[in-house]
Amino acid sequence: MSLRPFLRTLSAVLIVSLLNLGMLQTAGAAAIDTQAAIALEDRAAVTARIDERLAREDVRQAMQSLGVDPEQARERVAALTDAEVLQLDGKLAQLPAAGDGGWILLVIVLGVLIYLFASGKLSYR
Amino acid sequence: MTDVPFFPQRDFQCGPAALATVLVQSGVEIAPAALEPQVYLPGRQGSFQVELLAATRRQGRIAYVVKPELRALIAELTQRPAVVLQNLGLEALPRWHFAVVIGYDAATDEVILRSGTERRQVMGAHEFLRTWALGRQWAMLTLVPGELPATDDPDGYVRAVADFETLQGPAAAIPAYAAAVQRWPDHRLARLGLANALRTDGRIAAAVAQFDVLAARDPHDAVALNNLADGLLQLGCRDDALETIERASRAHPEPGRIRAAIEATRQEIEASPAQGGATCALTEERP
Repeated sequence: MSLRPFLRTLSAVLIVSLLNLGMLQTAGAAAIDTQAAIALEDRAAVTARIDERLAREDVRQAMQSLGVDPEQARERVAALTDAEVLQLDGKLAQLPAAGDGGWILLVIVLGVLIYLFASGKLSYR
Repeated sequence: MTDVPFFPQRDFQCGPAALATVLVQSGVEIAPAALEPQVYLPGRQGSFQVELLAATRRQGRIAYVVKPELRALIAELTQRPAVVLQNLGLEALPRWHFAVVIGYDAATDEVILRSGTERRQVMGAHEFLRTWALGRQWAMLTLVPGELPATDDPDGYVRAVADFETLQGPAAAIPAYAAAVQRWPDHRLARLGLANALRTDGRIAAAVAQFDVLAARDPHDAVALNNLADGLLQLGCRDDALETIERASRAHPEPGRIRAAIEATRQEIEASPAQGGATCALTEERP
């Protein structure tokens, strides 16, 4: 686990150097695209961009571990924007996942409490 | 909006059901079951907001998030239904739910929804607002490229189109940018988006005309000037391109991403062979 921060930094460094490499090689396309122009307006997006590729891989793996088919996880991550990926990265367990199933947990908790009270294993005092 | 379709949700499938409802309403033929593999997370027994947006783009629709205000939501409802995130539980013990709002009745102050297994759920506006506020007043629309939100929100709309373009390509996004330019002719990003999409789609002359409008409007818009120079070069107007990149260079002397692009464009222009009569009349005919 302690390797992870190191790998993250290493990847960030590699990505930055690749980006710079790209900058030198893009003789064919010197126009500034719309996403880049937006990123220039929204300063936060620029600073967040560096981690983006690694974040995509993280989110894809997290989706798979939450039961999504590998091929579908790949397609789902590909459809997310950079900003959306960064919103999900590391938070798939906490973000609101709307499925209208929260009551089931509550019912189970209440059921257990009622049982414990009723059977005398739990009391106010 | 009684013609809005209804898909009763199966267990935990309010995301696919709500999304299918608005997609079908905007002309996409799709059933909730087909959206499940795109938005449902078995391990969380639910769906995320951002994946509803992503799945919308995959279906060829623009996913627009409504400004988090009741006024904006009501304005949108006059045109089309919206998916909303509600918390039907408590703040500390949330029960997250996606539903589709299909209307607001001002006379009775009630909101009409397609929700869960209820085809027509009528909720007092106050109660709805409580559940919606707990979901941070999140609502989204699925727009056909060319359709605009009712709200005057060019910033939000153009960003939604740019995200759509990233997935679906410039040709699909051009009608959306064009509609935005028509409605908000003075909005820089809308026009820049249109110009860039035209350029990427190979419609260089049309793109140059739009970059030219931006450069004429703001002589310090280095992005527009750089892209204009690039377009002029592609049209064979080398002298105009060189003059334009000089203007970009003066407008943006600071090092950084824009400066790097300007230098790259300049190198491209200088590397291209000089021809006789490389000046074009283009820059003089401003639309």
